[in-house]
Amino acid sequence: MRPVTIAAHARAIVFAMGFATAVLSACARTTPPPTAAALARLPWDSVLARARGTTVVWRMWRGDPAINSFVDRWVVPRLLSEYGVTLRVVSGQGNELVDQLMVEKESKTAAGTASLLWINGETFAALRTRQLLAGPWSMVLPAAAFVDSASPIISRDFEQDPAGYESPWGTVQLALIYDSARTRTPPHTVRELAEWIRAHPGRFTYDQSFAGVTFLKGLMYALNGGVETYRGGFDSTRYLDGRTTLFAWLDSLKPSLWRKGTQYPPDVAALHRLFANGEIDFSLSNNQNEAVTKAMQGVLPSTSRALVLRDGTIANAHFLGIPFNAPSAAGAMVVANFLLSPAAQLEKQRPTVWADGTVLRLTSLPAAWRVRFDSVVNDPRLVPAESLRAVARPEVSPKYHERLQDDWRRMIR
Amino acid sequence: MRRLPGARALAVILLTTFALSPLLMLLLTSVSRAWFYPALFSPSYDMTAWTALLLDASHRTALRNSLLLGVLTAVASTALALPLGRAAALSTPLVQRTIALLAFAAVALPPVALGIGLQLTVLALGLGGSLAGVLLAHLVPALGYLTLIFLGVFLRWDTRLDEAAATLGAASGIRWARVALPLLRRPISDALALGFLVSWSQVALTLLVGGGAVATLPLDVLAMLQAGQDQRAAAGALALTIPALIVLGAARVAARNTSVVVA
Amino acid sequence: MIPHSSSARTNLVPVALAGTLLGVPMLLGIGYLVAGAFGYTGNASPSAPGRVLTDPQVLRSVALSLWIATIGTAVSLVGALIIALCFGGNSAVDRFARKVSALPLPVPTLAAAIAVLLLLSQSGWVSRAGFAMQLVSTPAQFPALVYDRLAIGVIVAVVWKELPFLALVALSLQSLRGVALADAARTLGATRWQALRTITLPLLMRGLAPSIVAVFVFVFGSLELALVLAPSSPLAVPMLIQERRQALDSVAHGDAYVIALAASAIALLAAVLHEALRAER
Repeated sequence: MRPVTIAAHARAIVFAMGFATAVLSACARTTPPPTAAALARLPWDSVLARARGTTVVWRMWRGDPAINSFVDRWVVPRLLSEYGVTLRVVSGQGNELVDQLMVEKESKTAAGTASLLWINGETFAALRTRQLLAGPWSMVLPAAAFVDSASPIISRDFEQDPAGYESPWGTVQLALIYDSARTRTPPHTVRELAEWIRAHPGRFTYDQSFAGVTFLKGLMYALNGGVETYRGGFDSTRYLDGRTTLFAWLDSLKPSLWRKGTQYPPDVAALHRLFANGEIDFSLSNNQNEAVTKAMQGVLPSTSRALVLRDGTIANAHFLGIPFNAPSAAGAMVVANFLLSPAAQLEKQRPTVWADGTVLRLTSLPAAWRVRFDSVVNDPRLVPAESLRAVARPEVSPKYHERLQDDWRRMIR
Repeated sequence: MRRLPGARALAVILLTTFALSPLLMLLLTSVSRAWFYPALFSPSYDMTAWTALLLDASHRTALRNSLLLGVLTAVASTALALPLGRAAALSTPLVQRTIALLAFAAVALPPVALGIGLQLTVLALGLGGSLAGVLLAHLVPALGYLTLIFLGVFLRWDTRLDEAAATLGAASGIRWARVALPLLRRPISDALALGFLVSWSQVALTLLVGGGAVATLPLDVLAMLQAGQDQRAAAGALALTIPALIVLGAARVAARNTSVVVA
Repeated sequence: MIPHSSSARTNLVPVALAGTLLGVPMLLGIGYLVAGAFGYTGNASPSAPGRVLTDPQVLRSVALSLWIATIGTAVSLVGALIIALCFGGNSAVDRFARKVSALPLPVPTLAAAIAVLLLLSQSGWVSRAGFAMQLVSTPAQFPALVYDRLAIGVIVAVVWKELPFLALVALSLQSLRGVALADAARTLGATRWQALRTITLPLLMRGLAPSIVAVFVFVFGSLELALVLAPSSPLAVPMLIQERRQALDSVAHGDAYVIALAASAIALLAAVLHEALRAER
């Protein structure tokens, strides 16, 4: 090939790339669809009608096959057949969502890709401060009337008021997991835990990710007079005092931890692996029922049981939000409402499915539903609901989580 | 080397064990349920991980994306690298070395670092979280790798055949089709295979540039590992490996070509 | 290059082509990294680079990644040389050994990392074999190869993937040039060992030099290996970048850009070295 042909090829390629880019970018700009706030002012039937035939792209964490299975196999077909809404799930969480929406906002993209987001805590805070969420809308959902809004776990998201910008979906509570075949007398308080760790060096650790930090936060509350100390927004002095006590407690136990406290598993999965294979005797989970669901999946030994410390463990709720530029806000509202229905909440709570806690006020449901929920909640393998409620501690300002995570990484790890 | 049959036999056995044991471990894990320490062999076997991998809709999307990206990367990067490598081979040493440097840099840059920069670029182009954006990202290391390969091919090119054909009166088009192309068949098939593999096994670039929204098979495998689903992660890892073995076997990578250039 | 008729000339076309296709995406990417590192996007300040690059945690991460890359490459090199020298012949055994040693080549790094995790963790298969043979009775008695400061697990995974690559290069070099020269030296009276030391090895090393740089820089920047096998303290460089990048506050974001830029600088240095070695052969 002579040089002139190469030059011609090069020009063609560059032109084609530029053209393709221009076309693709242009496709992103369309007329703005109705916002969730506007739709919230319409009667519900109107919203249902507008949702029919639309596609809702839902960005959620896809890291658990059990949750994926529930959504793909149970939720998706029912949304299509009962409401005519096509639900398409795409992976996305935390800063991925914030980044994408920030860019879309700055480039004035009228209609984004996602209509529904699975969020809570820090992510909700980040999205709200940057005004990336649509709302208010969640209070107009018919199912919202049955939500247990008196519960401090559900009415506040890490102490923030959802204020209609996110709709509750489920609740979880942190629990320790132990093997009843290996550990006959597990500890039940923070003090007993410390004694146990010293008596069994190298057999306890916690992970670097969200569950590990939640565990540490719970310890911080317990060692510093309870969660009341930390209510009412972030207080630097109170945080630093709490951190000092917590880190001193951790330092005193350091030589007795797994690998002498010099290494920590990267995530809960690695922690489960160590526990299941007998390298350590305890694992953690943000979901108190994970001991049972994972045992059913063959990931944990069948003799695994959950345990909540009497000093309190952190319970929190997770929510659904709608982005400011959702292409199908009506569809998203219908999905959120469906997920709040007793049928969907019950299915989600089955140990064979996900064992995620309900946000509904069971006393407000008809008797038939109450019976069904009772049988699921009172499965003998699970931690009894009363015990869970008694020790549930709500989340406080997300800044405590952020600071604790950063400081732990800098000072302890 | 002096023949010490015993030592050599031992070496071959060790070599075979070393090469095969990771693959065997993945195979065993992919069909094992509740296989915990200290069990040397699994208490129960099932094919649930494999059936889920082949039947789940989400995995099918990931597989489809991976194949699409792989094929497009292979074709586009080969089509671009061939003329680029040739032009570089025919240029002055300075230009040649600059192009080779750029090409190697594209491969050498840590994908996480490259990914951060490319993610911002792709977001600015409005391709954030799209397959097109991820394709653009995959093209960077693929193009670099293949340019180096074609540079090597054309540096060792014997132009005497071409010149002989020219003196015999053949037009440039005929010379291209009858002289150059047959000789290029092997390097082109190698390049297609390698370009495919660069995209197929990519983790960091897809993760960063796709913003979590683009599912590929390696990302699915990673997600399963991080969800503690070792059985499914192992099945996924093998599913990731088998096509790679096939593609490379089919192209029969020539030791000569890869060594002189990528070296 | 085998004789060509037209003399080489400064042709701007390949430069333009390379610039657009290779240079532009990379330069844009690096440009954004620089902007982020010095605070022109987000809230990081222009003093961030100084602070981040002298942070002991960051320096320890760089040290770990360099350690893994160095030892991993070195061991892979020794293994590759052994294979090239011992199995370079034409017997059935030689050909089998070469085929089997090439098996790991196309296996994706992620798959290799997962396999090593399953094999070499303290409760992995090798440890269980030790248990069965009564060499160890608890997982803690097995050496800590994964999630450990010495990162031996990572290094094993590196060797598994890269030894075949270097062996392939070494074998082809040998078949191209090595055998004839070494034989010539032998006929002139050199012993086997002398031929090896003064001719074959230097030849192989010079030919392998660019590949060694490539392997080194690839291992240094690999995210998959670090995600699956590396320790938490210190964190490998790719993990450090990921961690800072995923933080929701923009100061940490800025840190991620700085570290990414530093890692890129190391990679570019390697690229220059690689190019110098490639043209040298």
